[in-house]
Amino acid sequence: MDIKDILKRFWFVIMIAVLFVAFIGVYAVNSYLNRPVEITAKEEDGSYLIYTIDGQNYTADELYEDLKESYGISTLYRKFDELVCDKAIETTSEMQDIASNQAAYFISQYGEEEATTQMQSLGYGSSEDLDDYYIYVQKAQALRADYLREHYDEYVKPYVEKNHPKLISHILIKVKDVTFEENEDGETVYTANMTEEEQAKYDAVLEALANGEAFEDVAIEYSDDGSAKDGGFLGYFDDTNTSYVDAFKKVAMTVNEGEMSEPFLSQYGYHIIYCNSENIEDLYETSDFLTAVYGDDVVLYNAPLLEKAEELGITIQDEQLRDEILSQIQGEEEE
Amino acid sequence: MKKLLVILLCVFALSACSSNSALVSDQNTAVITGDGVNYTKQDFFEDMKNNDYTNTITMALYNDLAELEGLDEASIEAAIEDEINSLKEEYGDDYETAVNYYGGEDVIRDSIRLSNIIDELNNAYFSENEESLLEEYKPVMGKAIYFDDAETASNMYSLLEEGTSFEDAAKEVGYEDEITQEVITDKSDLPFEVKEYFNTATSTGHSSVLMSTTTATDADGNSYDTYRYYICAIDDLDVNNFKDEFYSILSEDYDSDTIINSYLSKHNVEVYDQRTYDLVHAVYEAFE
Repeated sequence: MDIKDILKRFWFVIMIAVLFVAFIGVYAVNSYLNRPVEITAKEEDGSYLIYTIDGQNYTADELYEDLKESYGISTLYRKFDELVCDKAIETTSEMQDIASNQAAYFISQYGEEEATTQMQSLGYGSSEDLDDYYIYVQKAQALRADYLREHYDEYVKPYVEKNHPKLISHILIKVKDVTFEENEDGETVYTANMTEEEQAKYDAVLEALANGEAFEDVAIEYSDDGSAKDGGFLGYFDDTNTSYVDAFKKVAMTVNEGEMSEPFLSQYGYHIIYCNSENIEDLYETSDFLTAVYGDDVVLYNAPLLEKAEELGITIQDEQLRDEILSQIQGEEEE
Repeated sequence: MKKLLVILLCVFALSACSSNSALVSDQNTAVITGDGVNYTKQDFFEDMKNNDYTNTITMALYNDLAELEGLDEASIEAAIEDEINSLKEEYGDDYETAVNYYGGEDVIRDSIRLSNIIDELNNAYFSENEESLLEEYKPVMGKAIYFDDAETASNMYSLLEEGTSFEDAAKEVGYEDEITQEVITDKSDLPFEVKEYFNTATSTGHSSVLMSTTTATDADGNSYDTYRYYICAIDDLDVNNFKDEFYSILSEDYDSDTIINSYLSKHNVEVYDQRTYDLVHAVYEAFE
């Protein structure tokens, strides 16, 4: 009798044996995880007990009410948003890849324990839910972007005309000795006293760009900014931005899509800015742009959620929490 | 068919291995529905537990202990109001922004409440065990200062013997640091010789010069002795006159695990939910 025959004849016994071994395995893992005491759930008068103290019961229902009072609204709102986004936006393999990369990056930076802490503060179970969370974030962003596409004239056009949003990259040639003074108009005028090495790098950058080398490649090779590894890409910028020094901001505001600025000085050295895109579809993919357009307007931010929930027929059944959530995300208006 | 049934039973047994959690009533009641979604009350319960289980369970346990120990609810509430009013005074117009940063006024109130209950329970524990704690800590109200040279310490001692006050005598021999009267116990960070003086004292007054030796190591790894010359004073031996200060030292120093465990066993706490047990066990290691 060969192995195939044995498997065929005793498959049932083998399967039971495998399950038995798995059972022992689960027990061993539980013991290993420092769980010497196995607690048995107890039900009394139709309610499960959490604990008793001097014979008084603290039940699962009481815990539910205590938790609901403190975290009911925030937990249910997040779940509602997650479920609506999940039904409204299809999960793509690209989303899964991005989520996996983000999850792996988070764990590499902060570790499993911190990931679990962060995930639990967001209402998830552990670090294993990072992928799901990052997929949800992308879906929430896609839902809000779709809404803006549909309401372009109302919300996006005025913002674009006023604040000139764009995606930019930059090359920095650091200069140690930069002096500055105010001119007659009160503007700061910088003067660079470059070392030979700094001058050589400056010349090499200009030559490479003049020879038609890609901005991205030149940034990777020469830029002294932290963005060099990303080809100089800084991401979203608009006129409301306050993260950059004035000299940088002033030039960034004037560069149009596909254009590159002349070299200019700030206290950090020479900068050259390239505008990657002003295309609205590229901007919709950028969370900073969505944040900028939605701003602090809670009602506007939740309009796509409520619209899509209604379209899909997804509703919160707990009346009290539903009314409280709606009053917060619809302003004073209540359902 | 029989075989399939046995397999299903085995699988069920496996899944039951990790399920010792309490269920909420009407656990299958829908909380969010529509388009194939069926988010139940139990799902919601588990998600809320993820959000912040520790605080809620801790608060529930301490509230129960406060009630069973007969703590004065009115004074706890009054203490909360006092602290809230002092926060309002401190932050002025920024009060709302400040409390919102920490999750709102309710969260702050809960936190103050918890802290007050813990203080009250600690004090009750200290009061109940005062005799053994006094034996262990041997508290006195006093002062201890030291000099690096024996002569200055000796000069100060002479002044004290002549009737000069502790502060004036120290000042006269050039001691420039601030002299603080404090509760000194057997666990204070002082040399053995100094603590022995305080521990064995039977009356108030000042000490003679007490020399302490410490062994240090130089850059070449050679050991050498350094000397300090202490002058001490005992101002009060009756703990009833400085009980608050003594309890405050105990609160900082005493193992809170021991205190909470004594209350948990005193009130026969039994846990019937695995996750709650793990949590209580993790926070209060000795809890069984």
